[in-house]
Amino acid sequence: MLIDRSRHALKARRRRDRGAGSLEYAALIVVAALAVGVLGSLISTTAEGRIQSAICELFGSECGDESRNTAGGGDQEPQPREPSPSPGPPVPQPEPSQEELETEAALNETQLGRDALEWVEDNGVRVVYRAGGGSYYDGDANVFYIDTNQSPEERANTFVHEVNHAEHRDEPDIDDLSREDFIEQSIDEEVEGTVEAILNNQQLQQNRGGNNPPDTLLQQEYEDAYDSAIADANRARSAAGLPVLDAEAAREVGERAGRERVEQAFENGEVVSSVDGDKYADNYGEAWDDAHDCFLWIFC
Amino acid sequence: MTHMTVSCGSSADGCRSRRLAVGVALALVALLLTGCASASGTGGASERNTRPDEGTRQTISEGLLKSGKNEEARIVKLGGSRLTQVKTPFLRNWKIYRVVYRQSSHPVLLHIATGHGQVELLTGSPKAFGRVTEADGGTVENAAAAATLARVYVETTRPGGILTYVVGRVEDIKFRPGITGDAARHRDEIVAEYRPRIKAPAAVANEKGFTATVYVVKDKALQRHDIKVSAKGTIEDDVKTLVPDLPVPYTL
Repeated sequence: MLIDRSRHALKARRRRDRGAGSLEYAALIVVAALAVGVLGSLISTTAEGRIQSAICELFGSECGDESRNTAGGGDQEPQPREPSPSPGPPVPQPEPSQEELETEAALNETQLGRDALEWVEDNGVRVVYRAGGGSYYDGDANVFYIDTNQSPEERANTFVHEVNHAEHRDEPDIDDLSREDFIEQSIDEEVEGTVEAILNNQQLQQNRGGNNPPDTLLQQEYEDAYDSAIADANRARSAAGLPVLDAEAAREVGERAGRERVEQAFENGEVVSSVDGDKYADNYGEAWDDAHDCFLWIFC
Repeated sequence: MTHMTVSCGSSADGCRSRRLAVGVALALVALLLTGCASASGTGGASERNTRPDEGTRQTISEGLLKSGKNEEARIVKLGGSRLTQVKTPFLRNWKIYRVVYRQSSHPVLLHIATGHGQVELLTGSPKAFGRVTEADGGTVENAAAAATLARVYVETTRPGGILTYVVGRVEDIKFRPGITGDAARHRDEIVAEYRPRIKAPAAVANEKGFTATVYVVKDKALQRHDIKVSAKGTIEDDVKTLVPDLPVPYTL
């Protein structure tokens, strides 16, 4: 009898366990379904672009800008496309502004300028000429803003500088890199663009003769370092009984020193951001902080 | 109100564990539902977030779109941008926001005012600031409020792309580091001449309101702004360039 009661109690308990287990399982299924849904939505917005890019690279198709648009979201302007096999009536293009014509004329005077113009046209970058607001490349929208308060030559130098940023769109990767590496690589990109603007201005001056246009940002510092490094190297070689550097070797020594001088200017605060006067390294650090400022990853 | 009962029978331990399991599951469901609500219906990554200021961003963005400021409208809503309210004790109904977006090769700074269902882009537009103070209907009651208004006016209407900041003493001028020779001598002369002259923003009463004096570095120039502020907030700005060629850092 005692055994029967115990068996009965055990069966009843098992029945209760089965009932409660169903409830738990149901709740867990709901949780799992929701988790999959949330993950799916996040993957669709954050990784979709990268997955598409990877597929494009694998199969060599030309879909770079489309994948960027998907990943970036927002209300980006439509990018130029190849004409369809049966195009409709031609869409009238707006006349280029005086500022645009002047800038392109200055760009067409140099090889670096012509290359920059061609790159922008080939890669569907929208160029907006407007008074004020500064000149910069907005990678999120793939747009150049050119401040028409600058002279045409300054605009051309800026154009060359900003094309460098556009060529490195989404690089360095703020999501994947450490704060330190992101700052370092961002400064490298800024230095590269600044040196290209200097070289463009040198070509303009060479073509026109004299100091027309005047030196651009850090050009004097670049040229001083360039000349000084070659002179130092030749003095050292002379003391060692060696011939002076040939033209190619001298150019390499000079360019390396010039670039290092530009980099130094970004690091020591000779060049600062026009937004807040902060050093570029500080601004890139804050950019990294903003990009990683999340309470929980699902809320990022 | 809905009550949920879990029958436990005679086993106290089992009861506790089942209640705990169901409680945890329900908490997770609630948490995930919150996450889903925030993640859905917002489109791309640029807008996907649950920022507490999302409503304000939406209002500002829509207002900017209406006035044709499409690029600024887009930046206000971008992920990674910071939106902070500027202290404006002289405004009753309107608010001014500072938007900084650094997720690009060059950062972008905007100042935007909103109130009465309207939006004004202040960056590069001193006239827009006057429209805001007049529409707000507030009153500038004393010299301290006038000085604050004048400072905010200078800081929020500064042009984009040109470094502009208020200085309260000569040491606030950020000179280019490492300068020597003529540039260093020029710096020392400026410091000696303007040390006793540059003061923090201050205002004095006049017959129609107040006149505030604000010293400003704009690009390479040291400027003095004499800003007349009426009791109703209308503004008249008289700018004098004191030094046109400060040896300050290059800006990009």
